[in-house]
Amino acid sequence: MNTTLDKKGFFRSKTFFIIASLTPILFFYTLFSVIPKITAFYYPFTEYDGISEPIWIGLKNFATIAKDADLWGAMKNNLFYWVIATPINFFAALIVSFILVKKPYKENNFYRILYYFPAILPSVITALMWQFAFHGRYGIFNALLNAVGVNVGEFYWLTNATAAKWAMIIPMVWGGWAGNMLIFMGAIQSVPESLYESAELDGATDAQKLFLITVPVIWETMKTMIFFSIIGLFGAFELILIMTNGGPAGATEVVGTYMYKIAFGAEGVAAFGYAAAIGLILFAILGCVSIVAFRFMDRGEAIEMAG
Amino acid sequence: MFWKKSAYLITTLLLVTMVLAFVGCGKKTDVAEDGTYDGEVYPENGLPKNKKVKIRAIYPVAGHGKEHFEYAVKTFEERFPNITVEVRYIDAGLEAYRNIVRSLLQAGDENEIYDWLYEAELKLVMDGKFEPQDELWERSFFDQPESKLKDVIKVDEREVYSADGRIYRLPNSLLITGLFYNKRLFRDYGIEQPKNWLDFVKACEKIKKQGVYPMVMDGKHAENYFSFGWGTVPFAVGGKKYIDDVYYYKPDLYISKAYVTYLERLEEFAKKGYIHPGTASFDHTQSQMEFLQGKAAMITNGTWIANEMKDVAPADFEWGFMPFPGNAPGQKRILSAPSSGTGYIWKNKPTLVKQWVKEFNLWLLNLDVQQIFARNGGIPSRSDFVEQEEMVTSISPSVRIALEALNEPDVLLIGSARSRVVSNVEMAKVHKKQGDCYIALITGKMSAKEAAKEINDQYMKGLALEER
Amino acid sequence: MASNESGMVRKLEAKDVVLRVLLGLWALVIILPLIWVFYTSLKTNQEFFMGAWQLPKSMQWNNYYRAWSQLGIGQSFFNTVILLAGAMVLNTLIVALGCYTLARFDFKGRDVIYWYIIGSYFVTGLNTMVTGYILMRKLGLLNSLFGLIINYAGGTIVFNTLILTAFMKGQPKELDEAAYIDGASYWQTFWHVGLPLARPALLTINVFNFMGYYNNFISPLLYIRDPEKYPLSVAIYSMSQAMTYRADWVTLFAGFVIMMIPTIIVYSIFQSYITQNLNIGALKG
Repeated sequence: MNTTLDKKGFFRSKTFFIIASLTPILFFYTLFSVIPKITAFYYPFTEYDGISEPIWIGLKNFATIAKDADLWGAMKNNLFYWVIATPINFFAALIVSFILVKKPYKENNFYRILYYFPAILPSVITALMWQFAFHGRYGIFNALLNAVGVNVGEFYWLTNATAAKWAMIIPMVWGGWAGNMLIFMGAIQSVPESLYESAELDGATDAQKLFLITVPVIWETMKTMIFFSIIGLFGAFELILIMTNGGPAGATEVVGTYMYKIAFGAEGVAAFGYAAAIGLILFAILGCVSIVAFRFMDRGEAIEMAG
Repeated sequence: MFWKKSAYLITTLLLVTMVLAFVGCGKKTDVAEDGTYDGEVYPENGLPKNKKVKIRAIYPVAGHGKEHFEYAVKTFEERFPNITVEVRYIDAGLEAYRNIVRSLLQAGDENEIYDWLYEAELKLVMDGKFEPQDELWERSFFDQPESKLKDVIKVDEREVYSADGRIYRLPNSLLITGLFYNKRLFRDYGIEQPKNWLDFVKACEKIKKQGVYPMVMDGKHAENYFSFGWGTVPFAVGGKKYIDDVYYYKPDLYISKAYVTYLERLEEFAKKGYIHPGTASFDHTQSQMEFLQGKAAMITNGTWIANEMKDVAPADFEWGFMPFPGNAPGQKRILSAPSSGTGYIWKNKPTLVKQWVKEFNLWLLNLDVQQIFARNGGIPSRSDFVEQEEMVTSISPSVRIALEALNEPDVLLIGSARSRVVSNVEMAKVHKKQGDCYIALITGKMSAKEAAKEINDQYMKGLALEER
Repeated sequence: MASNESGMVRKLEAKDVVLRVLLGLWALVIILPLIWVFYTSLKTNQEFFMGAWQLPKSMQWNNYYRAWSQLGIGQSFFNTVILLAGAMVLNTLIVALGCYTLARFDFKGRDVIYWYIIGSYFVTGLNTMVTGYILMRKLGLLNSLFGLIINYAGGTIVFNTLILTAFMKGQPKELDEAAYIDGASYWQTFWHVGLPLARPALLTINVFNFMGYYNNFISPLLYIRDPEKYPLSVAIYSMSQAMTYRADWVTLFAGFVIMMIPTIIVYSIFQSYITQNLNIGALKG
């Protein structure tokens, strides 16, 4: 029986399905994501001005990176923004998504669309708007401060190193969690209603519903979001580039803006190879941090399961 | 059997070789030893009328638009009907153009690379990728057969010839930068346009007393925008020696007396409150806003950017322009007017195509093309342009006032040419260092001497890396 | 029971009021900037340069007309529709199929494959502009919308895999098993059970797909030579670059408003389907 049905059987088998379903994704992925990146692995070991032939210089770029105080200073800024903005963006998205999906307020339908707008607005407009908001003479923040009695005069937020550094957090948070919210909303939506019904009978509070029921069910998605947050360590770039260009005098310089200046900054004098080498270092750092984070999460899961 | 087989083989090979040789030779018989052509030729350049040639050009649409270029293409094709000029216009601008060209060059497909390029990095030029165009300098204009290019285009020699002594593109326009000022404010406060540093400081003091900031600039891109005006100060102080030092990448350039004086003056200005306090956070749009709203009396800018401001300024706004007065009384004023050239010819192309591209480059210098260019904010390098009254009246006001400055007797023009390319990671950081130090300087976080030392240290690192 | 109920109701109301006020405040923080963007697009440039927050004296609707003609909407709109529809469908098929297997089946090498795909998300710092161009040239996909569709579909695989796999892992397996028992093949189960269950996630990744593809201007600039084949994103980028020379900010704002409309429409539609209740009960029956 088996032998006569073998040919047809193979096409219905699990093995065939697995192979057939994975082939397209692996093929396209390898072609369009892997190959361009692997062939770009050559650049970190070269001196390349972006126009003439790259010159092989081995590990010299990395030696320069080790001594590059500006680069490490930029990384500290990345860490600064990451430590402050990431938890806010993460938890704000989670909590607001929960409220928008589970609470029966009438305006929630409208909010679900409205709250995504910061992600739709082009960064050129957002940057311009915040620059005007921080303006010394006609900016909103000074107006608000003056209204509550704090007399700041004509204070230009983005000209003061400390003020600029802290002020940039506001636009980052304003626009930062719309994407997270979208993912969370989809995930929370799929949690079966039945789980909540039994919890309701036991008198669970909203916080309990969120953290004891929803989170465990969407735990896989949560892990992915945490992963995104980790990768976002060096993500802050575009808004800073347009709003302060790393200024004043490097106070808000992050790795992204630094790499941009090295690779595209001055005409005729560019260091693509060096920028690529920095990219490689970032990759190494992110890899290490992720591995540590995942070990930590797995151990946390195991402890939870055991306890 | 063996001989029969190899006989066929040898015969085939011989035939193929003959055909190839014939085809190859066929191309060469067009041009005789002295470079002349047989058949009917055009009187201006001796090129054949019957051979169809297609020129492929790539043109980024930037400050001056593409109107003059389209016009040049149209009239060129009318005059020489056997020539087609196919232009790929990059409306997305200069940065997109550079990315596209960079990818093309790296992909190495010589067929894809365009015949005519808008700009090229000096490094590429030095690598010999482009066709020299020296003979064009001795030619006369299509529309003025009595004038030769070298007599009418009056720019510094270093702007024309590359470091190897050849010409790789014609200097067909100027990029003038300097100080734009609010003429009405100056008049109201009774201030004459200052022609030297001392008068300039006095003027600023007067403006400050009226409750207006004398100067505002784009501080976010300080390394560019500060150099538009202030950048001439070291040249004014250091003179011809400084000009040469910059050109030859002299060591310790940035702790030279000329450059340190520039930084000290900038520091002094900031301390006296002559610089708008928001400068460090302004980009060129916001700095322009302060200027147009009358909160600052002067702004450093390039004429091609000032062109945009005239469209958005209030109707009663009066424009003034002056070269940045960094000079001592009695000395010449320095006007930064590097020439911008265009029309690089890729070397690895058929001879006839290259010859026609040269003709096209010459065509671009026609006065009617230059007029459209000037109407859109460009500054033609042909000195006989200003001499034609009808041409001048139709051009944009910011161009006109810049041209007036060009022709004043006490003005010395400087360019931006360099003797060679120093492109390594340390040198790439000098630009950023300058920007950061200028801002630190005007916000009081750094002294002039400290700033000079930091910039210079970075510069020396760049030079040291060159010695590999 | 009665007192319990009324006790709960009172607690709910106080908490709810606070939450709704906070939500309302945040909504304001978003609406006010949007209003600013809109009325700025109706000013003249002189008004804009004289005061950033001023209201326009009269509505300059011709800004929109100018933006429309400058953006050259028409051919490029058509190109965009083809490009986005094609890329989104192709990408969804590829990713859904692959993630379904990665999330639902246990087999040797599964984790290796998963990490192979996820791994490149770390490698963010390398500039693949030039290498990407060389690849497209070698594949002969240059200068065609078709080639761009393939490139786009392949380019967003990693991010979508991350989201979709995580989502599918959290789905209950009972329905799959029920289908097998009923005699369904793996393919039928995928199509009739797996895909519908994953609808919220599929719509979510396509919102990101849409945003990414719609706003991507670098790829079309590099890979397409003929201007007639450009999508809208190139026109809007060209316009914003031209701003540095022309300072026509109000037209630029109008152009941006026009550009945002398709995104808002698509997002609203997708959003309503994402938050529609999945009828798991019906599927079970």
